[in-house]
Amino acid sequence: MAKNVLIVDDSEFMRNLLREILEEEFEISGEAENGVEAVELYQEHRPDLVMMDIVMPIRDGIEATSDIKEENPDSNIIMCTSIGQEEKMKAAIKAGADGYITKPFQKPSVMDAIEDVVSA
Amino acid sequence: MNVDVESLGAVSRTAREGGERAARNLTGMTGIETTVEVSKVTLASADDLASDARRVGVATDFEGGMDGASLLTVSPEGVETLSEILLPGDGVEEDAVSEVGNVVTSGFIDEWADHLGTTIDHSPPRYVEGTGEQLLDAAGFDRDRAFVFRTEVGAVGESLDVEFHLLPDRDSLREMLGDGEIPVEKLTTLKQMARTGAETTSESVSAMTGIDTRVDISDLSFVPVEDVPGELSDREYVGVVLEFDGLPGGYIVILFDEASAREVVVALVPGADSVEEFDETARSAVEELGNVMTSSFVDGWANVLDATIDISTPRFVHDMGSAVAESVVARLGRTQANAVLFDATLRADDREFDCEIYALPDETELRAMLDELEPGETAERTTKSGSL
Repeated sequence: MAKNVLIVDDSEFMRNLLREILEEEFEISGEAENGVEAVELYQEHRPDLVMMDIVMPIRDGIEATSDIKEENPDSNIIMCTSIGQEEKMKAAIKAGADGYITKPFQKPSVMDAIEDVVSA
Repeated sequence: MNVDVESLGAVSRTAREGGERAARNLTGMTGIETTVEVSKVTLASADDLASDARRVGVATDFEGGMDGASLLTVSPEGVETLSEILLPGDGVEEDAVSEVGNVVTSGFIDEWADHLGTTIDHSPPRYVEGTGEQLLDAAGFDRDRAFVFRTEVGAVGESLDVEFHLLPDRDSLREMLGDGEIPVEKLTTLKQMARTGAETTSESVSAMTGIDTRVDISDLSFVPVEDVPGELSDREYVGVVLEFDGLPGGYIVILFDEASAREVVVALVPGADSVEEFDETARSAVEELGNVMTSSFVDGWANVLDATIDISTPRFVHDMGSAVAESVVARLGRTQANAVLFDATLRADDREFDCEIYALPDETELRAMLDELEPGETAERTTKSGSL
């Protein structure tokens, strides 16, 4: 099971919410507000899991996923997004995402998504 | 029947001018200062028009330069106001409403006759009362009409609200609107897709906040761009503006009345018992809710078209509704004169809750989207989790 999680979302509210959901089970290794910060923090902490938003300023989550996967194909990345468009999901798969969860979500669905990815 | 957005915008202008003339007639008759609060051409849907609230009014048939029927209604409180002003005494409500109905309806019809350069004769008004459905039946609404012209006139400082529905028949509409490129059936499909999007949005609000919301009103209407701010109330709102880019692109404005905004922030932010100011945390919560709501609204469209629609990061707004709309219209108005406006209202059954959603697609891109769209398609959003 993953131990360290990197949370990536431009919304402070959503980062707080994810931290609340995850911190009982995981260590939060960092929080990033955009794709550039996400890649930097990934390189610094090498977390077991990344919870990645898609729509963010500066560099979006699909681009950041692609960067991280290029560097470490074994990384675990879950797209954690409000977007429920099939074509966007295909783009996320192409970038290397391992799982996804659409907002709004509750703790059980977040944990299920993590379980699915980690046990795959 | 095919239409184009420009023709619909043009007739919408006439409808607004008719509303202003009718409001002047009402002021002249009652001495009450009145304003046109809403004026738009909407895609007809009996379901949307058939409210459960009881109203009274007059139905009128007309023929000549335009054939059809009209329905003018007033709320029970408005009837009391009219009776007190026009005919003080008991049991005169019917006379008061009929008198006002006759004069105000003439204002609307006369404007249309002048616009068309012809004459329109109308029947003596028939007094009607009942729920929305009963009133529409009384007005001869045959469920086959393509568009309805709806105007609402309000009074300043008095309890008086007048709703006017002009229901032209299909032949008259065809003459008025010419032969455009967009089949009405595709607009009906678009409206249904937008309705589905609004319902998904409502589910998202309920899931995030625990407030059980439902879609109370949803309309697809056609208005001149400069009239869009007038469609939004001059109340103070809190919400977000987002831009979406794809097929189509455009803007989404999501506005909560202040009390509802405070309620959603309390529901969203752990430990928040009340909200005095919309500080950074409160703003972030509203922005994220707006972000999820916007995705819920447009994702189904993208899935129908096998395309993507990109959504910008949300911009928090706290201002009068019309002022928020001005900022959007200033940008949209650079490229188009008329707007296709989808609006929906979310309400809750167990409390006061008001959230207004406005979607303003780019007209050219919307036309391209409609080219791709098959009548009868339904918009569904992918909402689940799992491995990829």
